[in-house]
Amino acid sequence: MSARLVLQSRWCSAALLGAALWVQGRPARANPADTYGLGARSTALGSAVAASSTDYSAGYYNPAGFARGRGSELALGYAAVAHHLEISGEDSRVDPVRGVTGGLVARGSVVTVPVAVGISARISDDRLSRFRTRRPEDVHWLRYDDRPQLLYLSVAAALRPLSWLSLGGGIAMLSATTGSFRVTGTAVQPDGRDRSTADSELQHEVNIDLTPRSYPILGVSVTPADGVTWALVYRGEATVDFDVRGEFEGEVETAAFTVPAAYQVASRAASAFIPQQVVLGLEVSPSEDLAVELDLTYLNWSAYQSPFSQTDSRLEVEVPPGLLDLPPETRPSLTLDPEFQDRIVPRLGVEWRVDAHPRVAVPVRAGYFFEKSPVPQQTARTNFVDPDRHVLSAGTGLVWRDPAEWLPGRVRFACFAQLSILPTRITLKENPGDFVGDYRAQGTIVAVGADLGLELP
Amino acid sequence: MKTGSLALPALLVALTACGTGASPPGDEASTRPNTVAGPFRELRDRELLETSGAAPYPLTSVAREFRDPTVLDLDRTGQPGAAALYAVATIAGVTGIYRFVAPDSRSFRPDPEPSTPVLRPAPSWEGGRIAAPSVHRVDDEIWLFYAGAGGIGLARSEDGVDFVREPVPVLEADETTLWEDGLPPTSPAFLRVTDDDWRLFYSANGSIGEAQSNGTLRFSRTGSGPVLGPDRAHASAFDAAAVGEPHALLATTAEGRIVTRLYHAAVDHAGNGAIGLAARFGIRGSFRRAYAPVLSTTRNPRSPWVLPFDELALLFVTQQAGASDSLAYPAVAVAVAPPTASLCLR
Repeated sequence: MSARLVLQSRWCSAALLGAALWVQGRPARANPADTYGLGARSTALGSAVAASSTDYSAGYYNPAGFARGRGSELALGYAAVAHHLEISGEDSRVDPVRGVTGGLVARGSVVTVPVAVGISARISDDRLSRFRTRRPEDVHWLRYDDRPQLLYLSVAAALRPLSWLSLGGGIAMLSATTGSFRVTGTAVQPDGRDRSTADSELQHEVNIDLTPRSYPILGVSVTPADGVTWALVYRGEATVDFDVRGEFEGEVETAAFTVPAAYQVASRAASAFIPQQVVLGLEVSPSEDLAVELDLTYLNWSAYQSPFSQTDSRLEVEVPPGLLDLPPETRPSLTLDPEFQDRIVPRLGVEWRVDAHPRVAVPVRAGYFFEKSPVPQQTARTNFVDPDRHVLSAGTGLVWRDPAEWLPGRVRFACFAQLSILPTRITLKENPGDFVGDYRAQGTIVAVGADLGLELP
Repeated sequence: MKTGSLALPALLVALTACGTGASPPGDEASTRPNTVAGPFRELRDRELLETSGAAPYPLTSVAREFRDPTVLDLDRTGQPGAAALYAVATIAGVTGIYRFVAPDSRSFRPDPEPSTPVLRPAPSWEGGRIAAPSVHRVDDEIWLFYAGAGGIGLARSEDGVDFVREPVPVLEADETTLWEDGLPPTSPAFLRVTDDDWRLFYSANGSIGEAQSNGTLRFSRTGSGPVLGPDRAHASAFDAAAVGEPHALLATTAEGRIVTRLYHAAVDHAGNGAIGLAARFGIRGSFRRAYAPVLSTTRNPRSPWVLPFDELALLFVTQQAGASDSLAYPAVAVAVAPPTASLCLR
């Protein structure tokens, strides 16, 4: 005789809670640079910098930009994002995002060809990676809750074979998670009010590994005339898997009997998804003091796959019939096609440089972009919450040339503020018995940050 | 050996320790406007006072066989408080509808108040049996619909204790309604849409029908078919064999759409019971099933009654008192939605 089993103890509950959370579905995520931008200058310009970025952020926006700068650069910054997102008037409590940004760009030449290599990174100040599990019907802010929580790192190289042509390429990396847990010992089945789950004697061990997942970034910059630069950038698609395996091996003790039991569970899911992107960028500088930037970003969101996990589990236990209260059979995980749609995101940035001092320039920056949500109306079972987004940004800073004799080069400081406005999106369910029901989502997101960099000749 | 997916049971079991504070992500009330519609979880230890039975059973006794609960909120504050539960029971050899009280809407004391039934079989049309009470506050009165052998009857009271019967059933068997196969309607669920639009849902022949009145006590059937039948399109569905014992509520979505919710008992082809939810927008038309049952246990729950509050809802059902054969008698169990709600009392 065999049967499924309910295990009730603090240790086992904790372990199985972890298992249950792991094996449920997970939503889509991309990386923080996709969502909020990378680098203070670039973010202030609405991320419309494919044709103009030369600092460490070029590792994300266009690696070819590394070959267009002067000297070598080292920069370090910090950015913080606060979400004010609500569903039907209730705060969704989406976690803030904070992290250190920065990078290194080393420039030189091979024969007479300028070359450069660069590293760009964004590291959350409280975690390297986060995976929050949900069921298909759970209401979830698809692109803001977990998406920015990933470690982002890119390494790229660039060269400028002709004065008007720069080429660059590299890889960006995200962290994927694999793990396992194991519980051993004796689990006590509660018996009314007399037997406590605390009587269980269980040991557990958890092993988690973060492994990198990479995707390519390729870029080209062309300057056909003074004051005009075109850029074309490709960012590859990446799917970050999340694998977990768990097992319980031990005994189950009830008031009437003790029996050996074993339970195995394995789950695999595409826990993070980066859509492939193509960016066409243009920078026009009508004067030395003014630059206007325009980017169009194509995002292949239609390739997004179901984020919900595939789970296999097995329980082996021999118990006398009728003596354990067994849970009902659960249904297998859903494999719903999210049916996301491709999108083109327009971005605009303007930079005005003011010479405040013969050696100090003060740039003033502003930007805007609009993201139409790739998520279709959630009238059925899933609840990916994702309104459109208008993003306004502004920033300033200074560029200090040769600040001291012992410090030749330039010191760069930049700061930004970014306001995202998510207009109301109403979801009307087609099934009146839907456990979530109708809702409206809206909110704002505020991001601020600053960079301090040093450019050596 | 048996193989199966245990992810959800594991999660539910993991949450059974009262006061752990653990919440399944995404199941916070703030992210689910319909959070009180279900699904439900059974109450657990320390969520019932010691003056009642052990969770999830406030009323359980092999001799008394408590069943078919229906609950009246006495406080009407939007929060759990004083409540009266009417259920069929056999006490001191007398079977009837008894009244039980609780200070917290769920910890009902097993000794009825009063000690005698508020209603016991009497008129000839009841055929010596009454069942499936359904209690409602209507203006200044308390109405108790019930099923007898010949149809659905109504008794009215001013204090919830002394009831006076209507002399004839409010709904009887109808030979012309083919799907009912001439069987008498049972398990009434009254719904007062407006002062002059009353609905009466009922069970008959494994399906659920609807009757309507314009504010009088004579109901007439709507349509020629049931408003909800078994899910014959899916042989493995939890409600593939039969549905019945409805309980109807009106609700409003977060966007202001009126919804009629119909909780009901369901049985699959293996004979397993569960509680389902079907609903429709507005007050007319067919019902559509929810994606999953709102309560599924191994003890064959049936006869649902939902008592909604502002931030949670309690579901009262009749189900087997335990897993073993010696506990195969009916008892009244309580569940709560959302599953993350904490009702710890001790």
